Amino acid sequence: MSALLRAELARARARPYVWGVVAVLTLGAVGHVLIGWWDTRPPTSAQVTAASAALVAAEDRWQEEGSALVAQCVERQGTGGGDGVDLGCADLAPVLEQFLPYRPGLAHLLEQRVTTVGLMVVIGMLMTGVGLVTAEFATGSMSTWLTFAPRRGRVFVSKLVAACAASAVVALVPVLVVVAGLAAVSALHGTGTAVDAATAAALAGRAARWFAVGLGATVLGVGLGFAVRHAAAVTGIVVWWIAAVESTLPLVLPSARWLPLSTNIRAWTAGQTTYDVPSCVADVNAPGGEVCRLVAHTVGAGQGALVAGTLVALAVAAGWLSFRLRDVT
Amino acid sequence: MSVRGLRKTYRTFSLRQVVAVDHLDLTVPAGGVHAFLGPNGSGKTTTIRMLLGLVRPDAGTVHLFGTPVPSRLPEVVGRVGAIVENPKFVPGFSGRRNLRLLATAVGVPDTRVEAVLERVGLRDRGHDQFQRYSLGMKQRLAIAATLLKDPDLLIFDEPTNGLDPAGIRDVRATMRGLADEGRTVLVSSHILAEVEHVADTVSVVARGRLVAQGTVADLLGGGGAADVRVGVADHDHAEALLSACGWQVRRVGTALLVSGSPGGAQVNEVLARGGLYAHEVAAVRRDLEAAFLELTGPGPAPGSAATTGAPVGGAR
Repeated sequence: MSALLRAELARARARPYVWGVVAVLTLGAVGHVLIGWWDTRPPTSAQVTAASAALVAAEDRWQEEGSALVAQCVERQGTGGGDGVDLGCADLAPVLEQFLPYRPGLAHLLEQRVTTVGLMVVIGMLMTGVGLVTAEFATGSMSTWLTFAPRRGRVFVSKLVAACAASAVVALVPVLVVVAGLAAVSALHGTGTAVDAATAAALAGRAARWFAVGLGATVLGVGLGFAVRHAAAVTGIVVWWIAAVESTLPLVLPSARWLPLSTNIRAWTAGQTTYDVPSCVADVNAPGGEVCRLVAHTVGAGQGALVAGTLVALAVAAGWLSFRLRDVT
Repeated sequence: MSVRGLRKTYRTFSLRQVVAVDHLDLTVPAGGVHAFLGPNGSGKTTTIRMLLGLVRPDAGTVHLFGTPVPSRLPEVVGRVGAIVENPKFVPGFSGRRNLRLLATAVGVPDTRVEAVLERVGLRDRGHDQFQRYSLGMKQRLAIAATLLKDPDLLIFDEPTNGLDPAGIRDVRATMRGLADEGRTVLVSSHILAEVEHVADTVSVVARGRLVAQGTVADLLGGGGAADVRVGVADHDHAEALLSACGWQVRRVGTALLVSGSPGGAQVNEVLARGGLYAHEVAAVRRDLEAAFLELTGPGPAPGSAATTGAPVGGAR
């Protein structure tokens, strides 16, 4: 088994397709870094001049109204108008930064990008899983391989594990590019590279959940690849799923919105999500009519993981059965 | 290798059932080159795929080295090397890398890779990408792959397809050499010359069924006497003398063709006793093409009984 896995890992490492996916994801990551560079760029002299003028005007107003504004704030804070939140009454005086474009620090830059980078990486990991399996069938290498390793169960598992390992690398490269690139941009533009421990832990937790989604996508891709054996057929299934289940089903049957992967992935990565289902009763004031209200349904992280995991498991089971029972030509 | 009652059917997109292999019985003796001969579409490749566990038979049994396959194929796969149809490797890898991957999977050291590359004459081109190999080089690499496990049984499916004459000669020499080392080589082919040149025994299939099996000599003439071509001046007298011996005589151009005689010496003796002196006495063997067409031409429809008079079973 370990020999098979070593061979599969070597094969995956040498596949130009895998490195192609890495290259595309890295390009996407560089795009995120460039957007970060744009968001944190220093203000131009024209922006500074305009902001200075605006500050002077604001200071003039502050001279006239500042005391009243502070008093109102303190009063509101005292009456609980801020729901216990510090309203920052001592910091109401205008400062230059308020009139300049917002320049996020590293922590904020990373927080903004977890979801988009995560989604991008998940798609790349899915492609890796699909490509590594379907290429074997497309080139006919699978039949050669099976004449050397006829135990299909071992071949299946070794390819599954190798695909997961390869997709982990596929995920790691763009994530490192994004993190290192944004840190460099923040340092270069002086917007602050400090990320406190709590924020770092939260970011790592969200990233880990997205990574788990990516591994699930890889396994899904491997299962579908073994099941239908052609990348085009897998693409067809994915497109059908997006059109039928992700897009149409919630419109036709709102109570089935627990099924789409988008709902469950959102629940898993964000901790929970909600969706509304209209609940209608007969309108006593208008015979024949109905009164509807939206009832919120919450999907927790556990339910999201369970539903998405079940779909992945079904794909793996289909792939295994197909590989076990179908002829290899 | 022993195959009994092997059957495989496919369904087309229109759900029509196509019989690829129809109750095939086949025995391959240990040692030597055994040709698996049949026209295109006769079920040779499907049979080989079933031997290797790639295709699941609908019925029948297969034994390799006395072990039933595919159920216990892993027990004997180390003794079997096979090429099925065109050699299929990872296109972007070098020949050497492809072999090393296979070697890793079966626990063979890299030194063995170099040895088999050397054996097939690819050592200097081992670093080239597989997709840049010529067809002949691909075939040689495939043969190298089959040799990695140092197998007792080698299965080659149409190994000379698309090769130039030099490539064909090399592959045939390799197959013959492997057999001469004591290995068993099963080679499927529809090329008659290939069978005639390298095979010791042959099985002929047509439309998924075995129609003949035996030595090549058996196939050519049932192991009996060949026709004798006789050149004499007096055809009429010669014909009368030879016919009197109970042999069939017919005129072919300027010569006579004698069938049913024990051999040329006896024919010549009869003519000499009759006062005729032949200027030509030659044994005329029935060529393999004629035998093959006779066996596989209007063959039996799948599912029906074999209708040829060819010797099914026989040599060993």
